[in-house]
Amino acid sequence: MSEGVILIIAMMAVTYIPRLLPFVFLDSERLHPKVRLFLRAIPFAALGALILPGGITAVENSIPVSVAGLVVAALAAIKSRNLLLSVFASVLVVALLLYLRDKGFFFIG
Amino acid sequence: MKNTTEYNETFLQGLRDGLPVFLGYFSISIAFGLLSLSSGFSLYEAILMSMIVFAGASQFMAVQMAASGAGTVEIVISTLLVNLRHIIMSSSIKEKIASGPIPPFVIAFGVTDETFSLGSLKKGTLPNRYFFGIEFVSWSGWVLGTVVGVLFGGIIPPLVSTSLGIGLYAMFVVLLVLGVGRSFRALIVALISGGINTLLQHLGLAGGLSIVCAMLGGAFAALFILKEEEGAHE
Repeated sequence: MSEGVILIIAMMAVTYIPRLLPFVFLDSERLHPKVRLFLRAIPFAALGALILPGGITAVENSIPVSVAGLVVAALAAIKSRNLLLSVFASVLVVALLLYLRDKGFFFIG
Repeated sequence: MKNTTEYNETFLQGLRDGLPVFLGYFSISIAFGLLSLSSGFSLYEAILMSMIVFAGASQFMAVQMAASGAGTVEIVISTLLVNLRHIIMSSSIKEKIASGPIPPFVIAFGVTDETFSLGSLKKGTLPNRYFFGIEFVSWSGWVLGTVVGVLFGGIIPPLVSTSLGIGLYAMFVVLLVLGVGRSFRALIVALISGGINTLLQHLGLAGGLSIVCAMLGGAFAALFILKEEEGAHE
């Protein structure tokens, strides 16, 4: 077994075990209401942490284009309530802005 | 007793609803495939990693660490730290998933930021096979993209791959907007968490650790902000 494969198997173990533990050990029926509220708040907290600050530099070399992409995603979501469409709109706008930037239309890069 | 057709439909519905994740993962894992090759991993190692680790952030980090000469032990410890947040996500989503034919040890494997976000913000209990459908299509996207990346990555136009970089973040934004709905308080929780994360990273804390702290901090703040019925629904 190569060193690379050993590394990968070890990575799998340390990734899979945290994912698995709560399914095996956590008894959700007996959780305190505050603990349940905490756990149900996690998705919002997770999304906030995942979007900021990472999303601001999602497009290399351009914070303005990244922010524009995020704003378009939000607006499209509000308007269409459709995930796929909104993501597609965001990618399209980013592609357009990058294309215009590279052609020299404006210096927002 | 549900019949087989209903079970199959639920799984297929999961596959369909997970398509945005498939697309996002597919684009990003192409970049991973490319990066791992240039960091000295073999084609098979890159694909194996995507198949059995299935955790984007830590995979990117691992190949970059390997490229700069880090040892196996260091990489594994970093992977553990970055991926600890999955404990929180599994704890959170476990309540939402109905028991069913797919065993917990299989469902657990597919818990990622994206499958978690998608599953958490859907209203009501998630049928077992439905969530597995989401996980499976997501995993497929991740693995297929890696394969494409190691085989063909060199020929994708830079404009395309750079634009796709916004895809996953766009998905997070959309999920947040749809999940928050009219709840201004839920949005505040997300902003607090994002703020904590930004601050911690600015102070030099490693990404994996700062995300865990931000998630915990934001959820804790939520105890004082959210009303009982405003958390992601079970």
